[in-house]
Amino acid sequence: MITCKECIEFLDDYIAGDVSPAALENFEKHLALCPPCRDFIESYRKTIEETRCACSEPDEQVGCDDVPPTLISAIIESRKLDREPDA
Amino acid sequence: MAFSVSSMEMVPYIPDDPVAAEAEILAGIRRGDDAAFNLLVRWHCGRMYAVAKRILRDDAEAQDATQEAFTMAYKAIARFDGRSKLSTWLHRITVNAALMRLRKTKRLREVSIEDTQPKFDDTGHRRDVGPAWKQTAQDEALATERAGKVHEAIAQLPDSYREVIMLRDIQQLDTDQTAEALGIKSGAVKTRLHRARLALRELLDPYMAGEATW
Repeated sequence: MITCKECIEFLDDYIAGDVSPAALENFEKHLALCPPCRDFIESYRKTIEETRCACSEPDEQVGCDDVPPTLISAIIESRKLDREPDA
Repeated sequence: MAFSVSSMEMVPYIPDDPVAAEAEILAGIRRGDDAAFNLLVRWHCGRMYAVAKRILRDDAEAQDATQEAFTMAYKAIARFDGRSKLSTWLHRITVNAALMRLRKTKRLREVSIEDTQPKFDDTGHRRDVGPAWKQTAQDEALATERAGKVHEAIAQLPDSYREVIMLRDIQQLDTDQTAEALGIKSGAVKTRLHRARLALRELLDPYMAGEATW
């Protein structure tokens, strides 16, 4: 049976569903007997989910209504200042 | 397409045909048309500012991050290859700019990836088994707090690991697309992604297991 170390090294492929049937069977045998690895997998999945959630794109509908007008002009002005001279 | 003088107005721009508008604006910016850049700002500034505010929770810092993101986007726009939507590309740049500002304002230290990987004994058992993570509540205030912890954790990753998380887990490019974008091999993307996720898991562990409130 695989060890916890092998189980965690294998985790990324397992979550991506990128494993052979034999490897999957070994992996699941380990999980059946190892509560800490089951907890670890759940926390790994949760990490991916929380990362996506925390950094998700806002709705398409969000416009410039809440943006200070000075910010828009500052961005446009700073771009003019930063513009590199034509080669 | 030549952009009209009215595009200089500081009002939101909502195109009728976003796909055509995106192509026209990109072409305009690439030939140095100021009005095209203004339209880009008026179209995307709101979403970028909202993202920066969500990460930094400070208006002034969010304004600075948004401005930095547009500067970075302008400098990199020649390399934008259309593989993702322009809005998604700008979103990634904004998240990155805001996280870097967060790292600076909160004085977060970059972690060592080695130090954040699971530790095993000679028999392959984990040496650092802690309590399981608690169920996350749907409460909005707690979700906001949790998102703040995630932002701080991502901001602590070394650049090469944060980049992979941004492209794979946030922008959701596949492994090969990420490899091409970063100029590295697919195997390296997979390894870096796994190690970055393990590092984030480790950084979030005290909070998510309820051992610490940070």
